[in-house]
Amino acid sequence: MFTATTFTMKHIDGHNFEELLIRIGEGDQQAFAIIYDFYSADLIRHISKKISNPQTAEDILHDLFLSLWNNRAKIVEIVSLPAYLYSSCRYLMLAHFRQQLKQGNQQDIRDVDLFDDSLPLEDQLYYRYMLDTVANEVENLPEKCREVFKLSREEFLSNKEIAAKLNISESTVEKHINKAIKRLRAVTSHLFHVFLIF
Amino acid sequence: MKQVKHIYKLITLFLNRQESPQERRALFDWMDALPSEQERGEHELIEMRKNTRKRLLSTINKTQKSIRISRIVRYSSVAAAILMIAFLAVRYWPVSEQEASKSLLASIPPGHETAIITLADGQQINLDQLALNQSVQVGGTLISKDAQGKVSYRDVVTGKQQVQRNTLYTPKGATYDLMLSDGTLVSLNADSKLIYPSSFEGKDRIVELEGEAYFHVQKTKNKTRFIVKAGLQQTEVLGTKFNINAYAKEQVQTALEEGSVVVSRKDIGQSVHLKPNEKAQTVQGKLVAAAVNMEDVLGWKRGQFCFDGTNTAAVMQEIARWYDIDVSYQRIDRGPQYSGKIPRNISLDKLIELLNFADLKTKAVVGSGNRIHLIIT
Repeated sequence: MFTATTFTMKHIDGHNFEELLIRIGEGDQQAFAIIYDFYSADLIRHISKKISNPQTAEDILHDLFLSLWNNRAKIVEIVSLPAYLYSSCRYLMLAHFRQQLKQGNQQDIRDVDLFDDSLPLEDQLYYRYMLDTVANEVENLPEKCREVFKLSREEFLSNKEIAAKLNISESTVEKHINKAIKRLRAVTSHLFHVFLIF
Repeated sequence: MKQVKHIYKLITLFLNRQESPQERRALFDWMDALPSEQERGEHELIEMRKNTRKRLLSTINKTQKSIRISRIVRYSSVAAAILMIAFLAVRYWPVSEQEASKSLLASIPPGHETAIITLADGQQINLDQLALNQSVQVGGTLISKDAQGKVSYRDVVTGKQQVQRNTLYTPKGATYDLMLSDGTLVSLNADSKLIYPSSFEGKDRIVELEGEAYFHVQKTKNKTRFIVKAGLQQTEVLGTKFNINAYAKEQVQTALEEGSVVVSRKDIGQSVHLKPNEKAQTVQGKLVAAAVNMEDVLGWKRGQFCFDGTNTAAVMQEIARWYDIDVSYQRIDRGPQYSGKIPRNISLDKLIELLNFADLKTKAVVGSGNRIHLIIT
């Protein structure tokens, strides 16, 4: 379990963290290796907890960091590097489980939902990271605000229906939703250069 | 192995970024509950990290190009930023063309019964709002809904009878049954229109049709003809059962179930006499009669989409009308088309599943105006 909160990481191995990210963005392999050395310990342990095959675990670690390298242009925009790494890790592990399930059960699984693999892996992982970030932020909303927002965006209830269901006024419902949107916007503004219009 | 199939599906949705929040939670719960593997020794872990580090740096060096990539990277990050906006937007605020989520598709219901009558004076009556066993009198007309929900339309004899010209239309995703003043039963398919007089006055009974309808025409005492004008075709009967598909005005098809009809095209001076299980349509400028499978023709009335191995494109249009969505169909291979029946009374996500089973690969996106757009190959 990880949270998307950023903890300010000042130094790794005597190097300034921010500086390392900028150097990686410019293609500095040495800086990249430093980041790898720092994070790979926890990650390989985390992966190995659920993946028995050592070669597979190594593959996942490899693909994870290779995608980070391929996304190095965006690396300074990643609010929380650990969050990105764990989100990508989870994606890759689930992709592996899916392959396993497919192999063992060819008969039962008719691929009804086709997996769209037209996007390169690093893009898949980046978008997944963003989605996970927003989903996480939704969970971090204050209780009433979150409840209202979920009823609106997950259960597709109208403001009127929500007001009736929770026994509050429609204007209160609107206030909660606006609050939620404001907070989500704040999170995503780190991710984009462009201001999202919700 | 239902559990396996379910988890497989959840993972696939997740990898496609199409999962609902509930599905995501269920997936993470499953993952958390997986038994933990035996802990690896520190030494082994260090080895794994070392191996991977070597592999990584070698891969990076292989693909590293010596050109200055900064400019390319800047452009692609703008494009990527725009894509990212779209991605998040669709999850919470559908904006641009993006894949439609499962929960969105499940909330699209199939069509239902409803229709609107427009009277000659412009008044509109939504037949949905007419309760069972209720009648409403509008001018000289009595509109009633019986216990089964069938609407009948009779003259109110109040001395001088005024004949009105009325229009009944069904929106997309709706069908309706209507009884005319002579007892003729008309079943309208979705997105169709019937123009008819409030009373037939003992002369030729003439109605106009756009879209599709099934007619069960009653014989009248003085043997008046019943004439349906649809597009360029005209169908003339005494009393009989037939289906007219006039969605494409230039390709109207009249199919006869029982009795006998004469279908004509006055504009080219041709007419053809139909026997049961025959249909009339224009082929290369000529009005001809051909054999037809009435079961397929009347599939819509039975609540089915009927594919007969040649009509996939036409059925796709039916689906679009029934769910009030947009459908693009592009046939890729030249092999035999699907032949079979798919029920109509299911929500859109189930329909897409069945289409995929029928080897009609279906992808759903949310297009402009928040309309669902199916892309089928």
